[in-house]
Amino acid sequence: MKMERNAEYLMLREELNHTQNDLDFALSRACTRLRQKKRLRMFTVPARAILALAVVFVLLVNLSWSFALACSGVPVLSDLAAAVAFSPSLKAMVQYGYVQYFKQEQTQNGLTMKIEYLVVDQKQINIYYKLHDEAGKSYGVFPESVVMRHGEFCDIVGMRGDGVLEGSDGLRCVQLEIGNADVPRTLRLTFVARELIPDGSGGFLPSENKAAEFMFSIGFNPDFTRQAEVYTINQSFTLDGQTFTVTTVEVFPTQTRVNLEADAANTSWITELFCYIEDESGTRYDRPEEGMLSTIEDDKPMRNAFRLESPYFGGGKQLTLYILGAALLDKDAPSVKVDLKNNTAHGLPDGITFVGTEREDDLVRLRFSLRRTGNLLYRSESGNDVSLDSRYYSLSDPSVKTARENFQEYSEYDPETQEETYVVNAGESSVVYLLPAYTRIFEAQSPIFIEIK
Amino acid sequence: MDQNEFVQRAQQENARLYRTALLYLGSEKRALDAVDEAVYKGLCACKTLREPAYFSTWLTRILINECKRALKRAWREQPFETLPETAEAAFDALPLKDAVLCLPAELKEVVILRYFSDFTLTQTAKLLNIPQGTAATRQRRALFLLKLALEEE
Repeated sequence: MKMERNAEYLMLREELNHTQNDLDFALSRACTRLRQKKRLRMFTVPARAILALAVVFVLLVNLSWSFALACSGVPVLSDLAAAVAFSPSLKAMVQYGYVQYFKQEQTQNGLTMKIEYLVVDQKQINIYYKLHDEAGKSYGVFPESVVMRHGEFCDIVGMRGDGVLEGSDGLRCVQLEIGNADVPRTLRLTFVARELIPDGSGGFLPSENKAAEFMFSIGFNPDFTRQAEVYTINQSFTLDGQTFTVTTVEVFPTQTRVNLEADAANTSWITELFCYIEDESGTRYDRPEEGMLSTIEDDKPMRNAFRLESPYFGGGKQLTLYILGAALLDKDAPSVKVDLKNNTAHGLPDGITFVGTEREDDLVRLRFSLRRTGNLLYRSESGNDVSLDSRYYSLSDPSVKTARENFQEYSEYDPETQEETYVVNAGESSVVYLLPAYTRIFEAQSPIFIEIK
Repeated sequence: MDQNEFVQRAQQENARLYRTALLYLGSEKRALDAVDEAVYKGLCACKTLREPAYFSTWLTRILINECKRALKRAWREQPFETLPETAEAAFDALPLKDAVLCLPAELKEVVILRYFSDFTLTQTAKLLNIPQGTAATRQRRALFLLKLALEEE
């Protein structure tokens, strides 16, 4: 037995010596992330119509080289293949030809914006474009308004993109997420280009001056925006004494939405749902790595439409939702009060330390020290999960849960210093209130199964 | 250490980091993600490494921390279940790779570092922040369960 096991050991070592191709690009990905970390900012928008001004947002790209190589034989799509490689759902859409060619450009003041492709479905619009400046300067492009045919604003619940990219002539993306309404037949989008100015810490910020303004009228191919698959579920489940009902599951090419309603007797809101979908072959569709994760209910921290990757092109005949747990926020959880005048913070969860504030006119940078280990979970020394909600704040109402009138400019996390900075527009206020993202994480003893189809 | 030097040295560590992560996590995708994350964090923090001679152990320590975080994030999705040390027959019945995956965490990490990542016993003890004697004991117990006759140093 010993000799056989030793022989098995040598064979296993040989097997493990085979290096995955993807490993060869680990270093280039790390270098790209480091460059982008210094230049990118995060931005999301509330569930109301948009009147965006100078907004800054981020797109972190994780390239799948094998997919990019597969599409490289079609030159016109090779750059798009690289751009969508980070998203399994978008990647599948491009693979199945769910791409609308647009090819319109505008030039103003020596700056040219060319929209190349649209990848769109009933709920999400992905606009892929290039930007080129004759003088070779670096610019960022930011959507300023999104209106429909008769001038009414579109029901945008989320927007993200890579607006702050230094010196890149490559393909960039703006992603718009629609709420309850559907993507309309046409939209009129106005983009503003701003020159990128070094911020003194290795990154860039957009100039306040508009360098150019581009307006595009975009018509969407109705074949791509047609009705998706909607499954009526109406099945309830309980997590840590809190009851929720999965009302419907909507499957679009870009995403799946698991729609929840909460029992009125619940004492906590649900702010994150840990779950995945699996088909009969065992193919799994997880929560997305980035982008919109869920939608918030008006005036409440309750999250209701949880996003997952899409099985639309997967061909599965049976789909099952597996619920593993949730992040819950007690309805009576205290807010965190940051006193800008005395430079103090009260009510911080265990594991988060207040570092300080810096004010520049109306903008205030709130700095906290916390160990960040993933998209949502910030683990404290004691092993508990703690987090501040980096999206909303209030200037005057301590009941932040019902008064989310302000939306932060952006936030950023520095893994070297383990500091998270929230930038808010405090005006003349001397106090800022922040809301905890959750007060506990609950893990189900065993997964809860809900059959979708 | 500057970033250029980090890039040159990290390139040589890729395969060893991947072996370590794969035996830790049992999943190729998670192993690649963990290596990606460790390389990125190493690149961000390379200036803090005062002794370049300890580069391998330093980067491996970052990787092990990433693997531990990945295991915590994985909820109940892990493809393997830890067996108790008393389940000798169960270990015997498994292919070696699975048997390693099913070892109790404290034994598994010693085996991975000693016999798949080629660290010495001294280096392994330092990496795991345990006394060398403890590392030696765990190594012996792990080799017994895996029925491996390998040099114990």
